[in-house]
Amino acid sequence: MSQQKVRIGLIGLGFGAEFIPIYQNHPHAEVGAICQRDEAKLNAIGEAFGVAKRYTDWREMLHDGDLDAIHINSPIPDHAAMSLATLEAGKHCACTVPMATNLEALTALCRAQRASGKNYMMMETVIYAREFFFVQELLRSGEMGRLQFLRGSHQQEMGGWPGYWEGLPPMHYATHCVSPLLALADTLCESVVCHGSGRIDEHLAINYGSPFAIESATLKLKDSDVCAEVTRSLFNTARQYRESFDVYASKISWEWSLVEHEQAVLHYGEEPRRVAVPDYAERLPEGIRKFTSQGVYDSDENVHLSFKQGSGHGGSHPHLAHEFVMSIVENRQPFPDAVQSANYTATGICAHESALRGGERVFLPDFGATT
Amino acid sequence: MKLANRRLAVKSAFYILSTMQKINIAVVGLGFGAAFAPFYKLHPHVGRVVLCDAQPERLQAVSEKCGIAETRETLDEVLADASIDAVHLLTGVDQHAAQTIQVLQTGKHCACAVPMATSIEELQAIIAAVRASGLHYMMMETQNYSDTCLHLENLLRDGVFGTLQFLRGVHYQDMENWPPYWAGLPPMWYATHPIGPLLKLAKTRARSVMCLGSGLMREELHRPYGNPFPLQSALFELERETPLAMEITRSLFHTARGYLEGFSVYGEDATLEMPRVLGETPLLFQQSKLGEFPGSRRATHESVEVPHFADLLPAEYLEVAPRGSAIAHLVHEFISSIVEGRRAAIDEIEGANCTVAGICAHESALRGGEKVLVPDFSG
Repeated sequence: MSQQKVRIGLIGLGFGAEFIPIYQNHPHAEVGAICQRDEAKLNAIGEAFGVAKRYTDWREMLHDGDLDAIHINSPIPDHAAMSLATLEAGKHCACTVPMATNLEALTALCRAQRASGKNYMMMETVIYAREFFFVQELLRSGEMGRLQFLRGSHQQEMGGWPGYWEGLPPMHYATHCVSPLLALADTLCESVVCHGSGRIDEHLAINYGSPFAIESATLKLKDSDVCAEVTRSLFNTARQYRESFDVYASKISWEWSLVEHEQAVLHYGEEPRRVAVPDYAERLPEGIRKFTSQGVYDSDENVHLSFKQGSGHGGSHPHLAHEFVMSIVENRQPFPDAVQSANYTATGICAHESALRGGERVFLPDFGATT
Repeated sequence: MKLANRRLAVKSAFYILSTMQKINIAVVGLGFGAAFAPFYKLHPHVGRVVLCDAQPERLQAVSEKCGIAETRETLDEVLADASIDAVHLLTGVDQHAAQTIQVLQTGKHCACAVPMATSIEELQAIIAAVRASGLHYMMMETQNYSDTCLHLENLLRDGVFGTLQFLRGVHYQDMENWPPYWAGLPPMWYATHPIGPLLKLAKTRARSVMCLGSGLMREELHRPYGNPFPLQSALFELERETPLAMEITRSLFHTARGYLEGFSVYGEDATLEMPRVLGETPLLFQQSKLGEFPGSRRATHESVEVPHFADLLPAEYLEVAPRGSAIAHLVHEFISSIVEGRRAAIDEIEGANCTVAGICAHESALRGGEKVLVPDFSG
C-alpha cells in the first residue's frame, strides 16, 4: 500500500471536531485545514488540535490546493450545496447525513460525483456502529439463517431545537433507520409507502407543511422478497431517544434494546437471549482504535448533544473516517458510495412524499449504477 | 330527570328479571375451549354447561377435570338440543364462519374464537344471520380484555396520553407442527390479537390498508391458501379526524422469534410500549413539557406493573382466578350481554371490522402492496 496521506479539510466544527484527532492519528490522513464561521471558536479549536490553516469561509477552503478531500459536518440545509461545490472543485467529499433534502440535489450530487471522478461518501454512523458490525457478521456467516424481514426506528424529541429543525418532516432525516436495513439486505430501496400519523404543534407544522408526529413507512427492496418497515418521529411523541434496527431471519433474529443502556436480544428460534455486543476497534489502524470508545468531548463536561444522544454513535467515527480515507488511498469507491447514499436518503424523502399523498406508493429515482 | 328515573326503573326491573335468567351453553372445541369451560360453569347466569369435542379422549379428560358431566361429540348433537341457548365455538379457523351461521340459524346465541371468518362474503353472511335471527353474536378476542388493554383504556380515558399519535402491534408465533389448517395460512387472516385491542382503544375502524409480504416460505406451504408469505407487515389508515396510522406485523413461519402478542400506543404525553419478550412488563414513557427542563422535552420511562381487573368479574371467579383473566372477562361479557339484552362488546359489527382489516391486508400483499379500501360494516 502506498504511503500517501490524504489531506483533509473539515467544515463545521461542532460534531465535526470529533473527527480532527481521528484524521490526525490515521496513518494515511492528515488535517490540512479547518473551517468554521465563528472565528473565536475556529481559533480555539485550531489551537487545541494544532491545526494552523483555518478558514471562516468554506468556499475559500475549497480552492485550497493543499487539500485532497473535504469532510462536511454543517447543518442539514447546507449539505447539498457544500458537497456539490466540493466535488466541482475536484475534491473528494465526505458529508454527514442526510446527503440532501430533495431529489434534485441527490441527482445532481450523483452526477457531479461521476463527472469529477472523486469519491463521495455519506458518513452514516449507524452502518459503522458496533451493533451493525455484529449483526452483519452474524448474518453473513449464515448463522442467522435466511433474512426474512427488517425493521428500523429513529425516535427523537426535537421540540425546542432551533432553526431548521422546527417542524422538519420526520422522514427527511431518516438515514439512521433506513441505511442499516438497506446495508444489511445489501440492496437499494425500490419504492415506499408511508403513512403520516398524529399531529404536531401548529407553529411547527407550518414551517414545512408537515403536520405529522410520526411517519411509518414500508419499503420494497430491489431484487429482494424481503421488505422493511421504518418509523420516525421528531415532535410531540413521548419516547426516549432510540435509533434502532431489528433483523428477522429464519434461525436467529436480532432486536434492539427498548431503552438505552439495556442489552439487545437475539432470538434463537423461540428462545430469547440478551447479548453483549463487542467492539470492532481491531479492524482499525492502531492509532485510531481508542476513538471507538472515546470522543474528543469525553474529558469535557460539554459532551456534544448528538454524541450523547446517539450513545457515541456506536463507536462509528473512526470507522467512517477510515473507510473514507482508505477508499481514496486504494482508489476505490467508498461504502456507501454516492448512489447508495442517494438511495438511502431518497427513501426518506420519497416516504414523506408518500405520506403527503395519503399513502400512495412512490418509486425512487434511478441514481445510476452502484460501483 | 323523569326520563332518567324511568330508565333507571326499567333497568332495575330488567335486572331483577335478568338475575333469574340462566343460560345453557355448549363449549365446542376443547383445545382452547378447556380454558373457558370452568368460567362458564361458575358464572351466576349460566345454567347447564355442555362440552363438545370430536375427540372422545379429550372430551372425557376435560369433562372429568372440569366436573362437567354433559358431553356431545358433534356440533349437530349440540344444535339438536333445544334446551341449549348459546354455543361458544373454539374450532378450527376454517370452520368458524359456516359453524357460526349454523348456530345462529338453529336459534342459538353464538360466541366464536378469532378470527370471525376468512373472507368478506363470510363476514356479510354472518352479519345477515345475526340480523335475521335477532340473536347475540360475540367475537371472543382475548387481547381486547387483556389487563394491558383494560389498563390502557383507563389511561386514555384519564387523558394521560394526550393526542394519540401512532399505534403498533405484533403477533409473532411459529406455527410449525400445529393442526393442519395452520399450514400456509395467510398471516394477516389471523391478526385480530393486535388489531382488536388497538381498534378498541382508538374507538374506530381501519379505512384502508397497504400490506407487504416479506421473506421466503417453503413451497409446500404455499399450496393450501395460495399464500407465499411467512410474514406480513401492514400499514392501516384509521377512520379518524386527525390522521392515525396503525402498523401491524404478523409472522407464522420461518421467522426466529419467541411467541408474542403485543401492542404499543404512542401519545403526545405518554407512550406504552409492549415488551419484547413474553412475560416481561410493558414500558411507560412520559414526556416532560417544553420548558420544564433546559433544552428539549425529556422522556422518563418505567416498567409498568399492569393492574388486574378481577373486580369487574363475578365474585364466583375470585377463587379460581383471583387476578381475573381475559378468558373470564370474555365469558362474563358474552353471558351478560345475553342476560341484559344488549349488544356484546365485540358484536358482529366490531368483530367484522376487526377481522376484515386483516383480510384486506392479505389482499393488498397479494397485489404487491396496493392500497386496499376496507369495507365498513358499521352502516
